[in-house]
Amino acid sequence: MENEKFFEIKDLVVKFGPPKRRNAVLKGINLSVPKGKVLGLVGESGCGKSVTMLSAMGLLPKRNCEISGSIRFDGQELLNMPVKELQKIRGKRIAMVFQEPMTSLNPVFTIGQQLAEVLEQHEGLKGEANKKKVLELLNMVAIPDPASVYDYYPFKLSGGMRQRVMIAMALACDPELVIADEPTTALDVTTQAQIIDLFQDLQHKLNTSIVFISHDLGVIGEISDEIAVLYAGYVMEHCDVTTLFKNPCHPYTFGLMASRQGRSMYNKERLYNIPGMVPSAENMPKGCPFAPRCPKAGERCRQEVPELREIAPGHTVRCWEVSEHV
Amino acid sequence: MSEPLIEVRNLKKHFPLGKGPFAKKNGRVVKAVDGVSFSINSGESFGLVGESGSGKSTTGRCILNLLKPTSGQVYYDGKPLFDSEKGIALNKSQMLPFRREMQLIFQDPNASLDPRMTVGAIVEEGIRKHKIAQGAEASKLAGDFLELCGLERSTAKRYPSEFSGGQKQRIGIARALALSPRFIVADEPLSALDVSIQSQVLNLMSELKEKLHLTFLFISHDLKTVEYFCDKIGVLYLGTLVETGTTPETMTRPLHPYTQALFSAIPPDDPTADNPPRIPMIGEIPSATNMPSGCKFHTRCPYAVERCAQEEPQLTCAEGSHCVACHRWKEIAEGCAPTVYTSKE
Repeated sequence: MENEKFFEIKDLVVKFGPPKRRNAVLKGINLSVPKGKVLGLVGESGCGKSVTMLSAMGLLPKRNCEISGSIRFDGQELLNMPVKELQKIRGKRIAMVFQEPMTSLNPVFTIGQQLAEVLEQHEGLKGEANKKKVLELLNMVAIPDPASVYDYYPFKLSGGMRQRVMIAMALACDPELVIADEPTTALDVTTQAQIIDLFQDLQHKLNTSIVFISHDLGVIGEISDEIAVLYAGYVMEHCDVTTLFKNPCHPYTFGLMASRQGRSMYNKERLYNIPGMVPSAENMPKGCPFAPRCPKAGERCRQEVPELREIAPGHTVRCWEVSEHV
Repeated sequence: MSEPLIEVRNLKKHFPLGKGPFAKKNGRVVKAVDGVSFSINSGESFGLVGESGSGKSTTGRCILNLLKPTSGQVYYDGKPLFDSEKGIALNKSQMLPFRREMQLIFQDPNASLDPRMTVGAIVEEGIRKHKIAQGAEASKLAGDFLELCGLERSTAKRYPSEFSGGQKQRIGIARALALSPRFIVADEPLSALDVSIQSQVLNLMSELKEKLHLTFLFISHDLKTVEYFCDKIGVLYLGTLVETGTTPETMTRPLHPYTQALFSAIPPDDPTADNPPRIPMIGEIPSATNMPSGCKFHTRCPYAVERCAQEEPQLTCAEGSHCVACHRWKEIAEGCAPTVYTSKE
């Protein structure tokens, strides 16, 4: 049981804005990641994917932001944990890979220095032992010629290489949970494929749990065991990969699937698209947030926010129009 | 119909390395585009794909004469824009009549619209500059084009910051169309947008292409959008075309090992189905300052042999209009075994 809920987010509500006019960005997120599994978070920009994980890492600004709910990691509550204690976990047991490899490395330090810092901070490694471990890490993420890359400044590396360095940094202390926020979005397909392979490799080797955030269903589908579809601060659908691809139930999931350009589409018919756009936190519609864009929306959808219901074992959907599986 | 509107022959663009007056003399150059030839027929869309750093955008900009090519020929509708053999290189004022017919849609809609100009002013600017219309008539025309791109007329009074990424890209398209161009270079027009918005913009572009009989050079690293939108595909690797052909030919039966690896890296439609294994590609794209000898792909190619390191393959027609630049494409197509060739460099 403990294993099942290695990392658990419960009723997470995050509100942004000045105290009198706070707008909820997350409205009760419930997610959990078992040990050694991969959870994929998918949704358009502005759905709350990144905010969910930033709040887990305690990286949201304290001012103008209100967080409630619970985030538990291996039995410990992370929300409201004193910063000093959080620092012992963050970067060591939970690591994060950020979206922009171009901006998340410090341009005035060499790759070696930046990786060494992590090891010194968390593992107390110094001198030769430290350098040896850094080279080992660079080797592990398949960086050619680690010895010279050690002394490079970030500008000398390509996007894919920098992302590898970021991953090496995240893995420096053998974390038990890796949160990867769109780690392949800025990269070419070929590099993307290499990075996905790298993640899968590491997961098998080290039995790491991974939360993988992306807006690309194809990428998410390749790497995840379970997928949660987020929209406007709600989990809209949550199930395992096979179910999601074989039997997507929520109209939003359906729309996301259909708007991907298929691999064999020579028939030049119009691509399906979801009309309109994600509502902003200030102008949230009453009722289901997806109702204004939903082809199936009825009267009830415009009035009441649907409950997250289990329509089959392990398959939950937030929609009034979806009935139980027959 | 089948007259080529754009013809590019042996286009080269080399950037000198280093700064100052002596930069050109030390002879070190980055060969961003190194001998690219293709033609685009009127009403067709040609997709240029490749990894970052392969010279896609540079090619696009050279065609529009926004960058001066080092050598080669660029012809638009039979008229030379640049021809190093005849010593023709049109200057700014000579380009002006062509500018109206050749437009560019940019990658980043946030950066390509002036935040201090209203949307109306942005779209009108070209109309006035090219003296298509003046005054109230120009504003009316701008409104027409905004409507054509699925925006309301009233948006003309607002500023770019009030719009979402997809809407901004529509404004960018309206600006390009306002001059009634015949040829449009779309430089990664979708990569800054969400998947659901991408399909909206892509639908709009296909619609306009049919309605206005536009010719496109579509630059993208997203192979799926290229497949959907383009009639022909050219695959660039380190500034050279390694394969060209019609979309169905190239996508269903890629001949060049690079194209094969590139296509196999696309995430599958249904990851739960039985998908063919990915073709691994070794390492990264080599830096353009230090180009490999012979075939530029031989350092990463699973089928490379000694000959590939010595001799550069030429783009030759393999099957019909399907061309490939590879010494061993026939053997590869027949299913020869991968080699283990390590370059001596």
